[in-house]
Amino acid sequence: MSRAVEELNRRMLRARDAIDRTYGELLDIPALARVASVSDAHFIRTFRGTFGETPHRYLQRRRVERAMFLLRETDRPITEISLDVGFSSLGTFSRTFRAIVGASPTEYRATSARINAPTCFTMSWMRPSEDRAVLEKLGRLNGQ
Amino acid sequence: MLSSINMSHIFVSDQDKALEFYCGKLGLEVSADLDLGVMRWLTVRVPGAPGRDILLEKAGPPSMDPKSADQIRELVSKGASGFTVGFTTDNADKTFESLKAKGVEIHDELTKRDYGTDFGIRDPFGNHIRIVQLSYNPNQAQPKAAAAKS
Repeated sequence: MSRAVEELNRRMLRARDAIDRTYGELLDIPALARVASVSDAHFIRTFRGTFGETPHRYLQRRRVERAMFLLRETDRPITEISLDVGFSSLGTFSRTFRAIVGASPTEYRATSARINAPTCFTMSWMRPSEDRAVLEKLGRLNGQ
Repeated sequence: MLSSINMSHIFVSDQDKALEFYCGKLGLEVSADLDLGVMRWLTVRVPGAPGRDILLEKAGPPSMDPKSADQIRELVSKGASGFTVGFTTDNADKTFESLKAKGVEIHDELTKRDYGTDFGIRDPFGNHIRIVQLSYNPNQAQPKAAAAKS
């Protein structure tokens, strides 16, 4: 691997970290491309090549993961949580959440257990994946 | 029985650059810097905390073949080395602001949790480092953490 590829990976990682910090805001591809010092089109393509998914998809699942965290750890109203993590309406949030997690936010809250682990671990490991084995693990963890 | 952790390890792709970061920005000190001929044995530690060294190792021959070393560099630069090492601090807010002012790359912002206040940074190579101000005395026995029903 060349130094150039290593540097490009680092720049993509900086952009992904930026998504992880600003998930509650609108996805701003030009701003993320600037973080990564590449063009907009090159950014989306390279991000996917590096991490295996588009920035949009990464963000959507980060938002759902953060919503799962807040549902598990707080008693805050679901509408408030949906807006906080970046969804524009409760309807969009509920549909997206069910499609990805396989349960409604209310069902998830009722069946999920608090996880006493550092934030970085929950962010890394609880972000939903389409990998069947991962979904099965999450189902077991949440007692579903 | 084991009594303590005395050494941990981080893969870096440039040891001089690693020194600039770990000593120049994080404030660690060099505990050993030896030319072993086939490799540079470079360890750092928290000042005043002897006996817990971090080896800053450059992946490459003869320890491993060039292709494996490339794969390690690729994974680390993509953030796939996971949680590399964790430090404690007496004041997470102050440390966060100080490191940010030095241009250290922030992975995630300050977060208050049951165990304390922590945040994440990245070293120049992509390794993820966490810094925590614990809410308990780490020298006192703590109950083993377990998932609890909320």
